[in-house]
Amino acid sequence: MPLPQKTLIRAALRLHERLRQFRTRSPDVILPISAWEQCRRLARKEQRAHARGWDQAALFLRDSLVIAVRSLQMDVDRLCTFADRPESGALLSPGEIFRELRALEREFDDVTCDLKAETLSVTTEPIVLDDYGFGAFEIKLCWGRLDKHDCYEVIAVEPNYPGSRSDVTHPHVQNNQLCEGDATEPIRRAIAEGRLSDFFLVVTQTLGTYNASSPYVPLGRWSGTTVSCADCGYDMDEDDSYYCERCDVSVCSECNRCCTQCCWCHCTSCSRTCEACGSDVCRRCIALCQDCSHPFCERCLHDGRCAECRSLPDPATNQTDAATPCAEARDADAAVHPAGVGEALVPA
Amino acid sequence: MQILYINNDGGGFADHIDVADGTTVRALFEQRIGGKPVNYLIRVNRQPAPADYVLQPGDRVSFTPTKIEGA
Repeated sequence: MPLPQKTLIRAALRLHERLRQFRTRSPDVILPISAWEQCRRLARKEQRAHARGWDQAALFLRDSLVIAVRSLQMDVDRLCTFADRPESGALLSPGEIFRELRALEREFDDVTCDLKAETLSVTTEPIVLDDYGFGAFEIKLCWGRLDKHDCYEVIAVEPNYPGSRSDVTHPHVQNNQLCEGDATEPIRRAIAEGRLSDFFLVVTQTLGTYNASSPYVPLGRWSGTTVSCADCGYDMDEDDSYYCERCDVSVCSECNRCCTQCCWCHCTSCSRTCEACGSDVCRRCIALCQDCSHPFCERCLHDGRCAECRSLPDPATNQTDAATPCAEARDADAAVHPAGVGEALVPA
Repeated sequence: MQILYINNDGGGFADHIDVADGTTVRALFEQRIGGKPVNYLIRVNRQPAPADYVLQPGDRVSFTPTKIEGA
């Protein structure tokens, strides 16, 4: 149903006034300090996790850091865009803006205008990317804050969240904010000049395009049938993954390990290596030598001690373990054999 | 004659340009964009227009790619 002409005329006049104010005023320079601090915090935590051998935690923190850096990059890009705000394009007249509003009704089925809230919204057709359906999106332009970088929102009408994230409704939309990428400049210029039909069309086409190189969540991980290796991050089908019995994560065939003692599968984070024989042992089967505290499998420990520690003299008795070759060699040269008088059977 | 030409591919610039009388939308597209028209939303005065539409003075012509990569 078309909007009343009176509403459109008022909206056109108010939009024109807001745009005129926006163009004549210097933009607030808002440095992305909080986004930077977030990146610093995550980087510090990741380093600490690595230093403590918490590989699983480090991997999770790395993923979070990547997202935080992308968000920071977005903020910096916006700052650059506002710093280079285009002045060359002329602002459309109120009459032209009125025609822009009428054109929206031809392009989109659902156009709403709230004069009190100072918002103008259109609803797209359902968005489908590579056979993944995301439903329709409402693109809401808030003309009361055209000078802010978040002057519009992209809101999923019926959100289809990926399994792991409730803040992402589209591969390139997080918290109702579109990561504009190649659309950044056309969007900024269209808004600055009042070319509303261009603005909404560009946003719509961006929603309809999948950029596999930098989504918030890749399409392959959207429905949860694809899992990421907990060790190397490789994306694989769930049926091709291995399950670490120790920490309940999935790993790929390359990162999968098999304990030589209990024969259970485990990830590289749960894997330990016997210092004596080099065999793969899980963290539950590995044991530490009670003297040197180095890790060994059960075959390479005797009475809780490794071969090297058993060969060293006991500080209390100054004796070594009699079972060791070194101890036997020393005993052979003694005047009296410590174990007793040697005897041999002599035939009658 | 002068028209308003809007290229939403790349910078999103809107400029008044001179075109020869009798220039069609198809001809302008080939001059300015090239490639396949099916990969663009082509609007004249904010409405879809046939490729053989002859441009008039003061027309507003926009080319918007159908694929624009977000980040």
